[in-house]
Amino acid sequence: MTTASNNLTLEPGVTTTIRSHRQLAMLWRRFRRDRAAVLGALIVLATIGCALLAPLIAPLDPLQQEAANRLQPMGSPGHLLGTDTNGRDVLSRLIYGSRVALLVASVPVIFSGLIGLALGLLAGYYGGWLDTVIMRVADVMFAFPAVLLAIAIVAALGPNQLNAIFALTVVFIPAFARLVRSQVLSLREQDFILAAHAVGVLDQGIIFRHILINTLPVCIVFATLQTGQMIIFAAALSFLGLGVQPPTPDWGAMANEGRNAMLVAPWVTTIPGIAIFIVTMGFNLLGDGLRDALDPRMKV
Amino acid sequence: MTTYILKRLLALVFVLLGISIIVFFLLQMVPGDPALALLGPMATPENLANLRAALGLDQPLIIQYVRWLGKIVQGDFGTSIQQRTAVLPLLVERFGNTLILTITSVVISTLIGIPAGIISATRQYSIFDRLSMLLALFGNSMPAFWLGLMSILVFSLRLGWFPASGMWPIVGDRTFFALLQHLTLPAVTLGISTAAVTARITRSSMLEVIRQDYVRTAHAKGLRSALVTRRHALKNALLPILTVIAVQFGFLLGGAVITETVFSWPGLGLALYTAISMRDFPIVQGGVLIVATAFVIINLLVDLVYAWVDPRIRYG
Repeated sequence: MTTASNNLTLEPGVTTTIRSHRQLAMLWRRFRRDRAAVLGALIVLATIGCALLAPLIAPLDPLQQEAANRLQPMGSPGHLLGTDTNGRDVLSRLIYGSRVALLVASVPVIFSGLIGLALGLLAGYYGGWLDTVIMRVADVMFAFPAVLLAIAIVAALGPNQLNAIFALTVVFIPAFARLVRSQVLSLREQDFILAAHAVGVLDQGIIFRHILINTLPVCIVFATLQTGQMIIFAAALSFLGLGVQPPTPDWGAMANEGRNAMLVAPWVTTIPGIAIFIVTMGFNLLGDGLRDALDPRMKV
Repeated sequence: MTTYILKRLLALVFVLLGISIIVFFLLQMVPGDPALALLGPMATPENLANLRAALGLDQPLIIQYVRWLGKIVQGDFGTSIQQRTAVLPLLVERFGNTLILTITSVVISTLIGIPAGIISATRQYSIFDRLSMLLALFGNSMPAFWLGLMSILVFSLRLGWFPASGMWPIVGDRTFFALLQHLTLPAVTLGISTAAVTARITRSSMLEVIRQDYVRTAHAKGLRSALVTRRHALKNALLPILTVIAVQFGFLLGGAVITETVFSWPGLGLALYTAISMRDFPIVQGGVLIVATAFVIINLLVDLVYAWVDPRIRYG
């Protein structure tokens, strides 16, 4: 029973089983046929590429100020996307901003995912008082609108990138925990888990070798969709001055910096917003595509 | 139903208690001495000592919490450090403004989202369906603060149709029309971002229902499509939609911090934002507490409506 099949449980009662590489290939084929999902994947890959290659592809230093070149319009010599209120190159800041956007969005998703996964596994598998405690704490945290709780935590700890990451991590743990718990509740009644119990496999073995592995695909889909939303959340925090601090190039902060010059230099605010929009859409399309490929019945 | 209501009210008490614990500990998370954080670096040792004693900071945490909770229950949310006035009346006035904005946004979101979702579901894979789902994707991917800034740029700065900020004109009468003018841009900005979710959920919920046998039977009986949709499909698809609208309401209350800041709407969100910049923690604590409490009460009301409409939930 230790080589039990990988069940992709998307919601209680809805399961898809991957038994072989052939089925993985089928998943890939399904994903590949979904043009929107492929577009999403390309956007995400391009953003990651931008972030990794920023020093090579950015035309200028994103922090370099040119007082004489303030608010240069798009297409001006040496500044394809113009300059901001401090004379910094918008394109270079946009490219470097992708690093911050991905970092501030992905780190909370990874950490809240891991912690939520652990809590959800414990709550769902063992049940009882452990489940009650974990889920009641999650209920209380769900009582706060996510943005508000994140803002309150950053306000208490002080505004900076690290605290923004911490706040976003804390805020999104309950969502992951609830998702994983619901998956575990459904999985633990499946025949292969009952059989594992019957042949004497220890709890740890069942959790790690059977349940965890079957919960991961759903978590990956959820994490992908959450990353998109996290980019918006993190940008909103920076926009309010509670996230990444100037002069670090961050899309939310860039949009805020251009606010006062919006009438004369709309590109300073418009361009970072478009970047947030495209990258978030990329993650949303990718997440939807992964979900549909894992279980076409879930297709909306 | 009475038993169900009592059960839910009991659960509400525990959730509210949990909320109060989190809100209380927010102040404990402030690095360093809270009294120093409240009074600032220019405070004299005497003032610091007085404030510590006044706040009971020399007492164990549990005692501090119980005292704080006792005051909150009696409506004493403390005094604003910056404005030197009681926090509660100030926040209640601001909360009223936030409710005006939020309720209008929910109405806009519902008026756009539900019809779009219904038409998309009844004409699945049509041009309208594809277009509305594409717009829903756009709405879901667009940061509200940026949408707000763009609407100010286009409809206020360029076209001059609507004012860019505030709730009333600086000079002039405070008429309903003036309020509507100021409300339009922030409410539409907030509403559009949530209409996308409402449309998607309405569509999927309707799709599930219109494939049921009783809907097919209604069609077979010769009922008009519109009547089947309205009387049979929509009624049964409404429950998840209702839940989403309630969740959106909470999301909008939280998201109002951002929209109110963009549009300088004098609501609770803007008060919170200003308080955060000024490190006026009693206002931050009070504001967060009010929004979270409003959120759970709305959720409770929706759950009760849910149970009233669908008796299976009460006995589940």
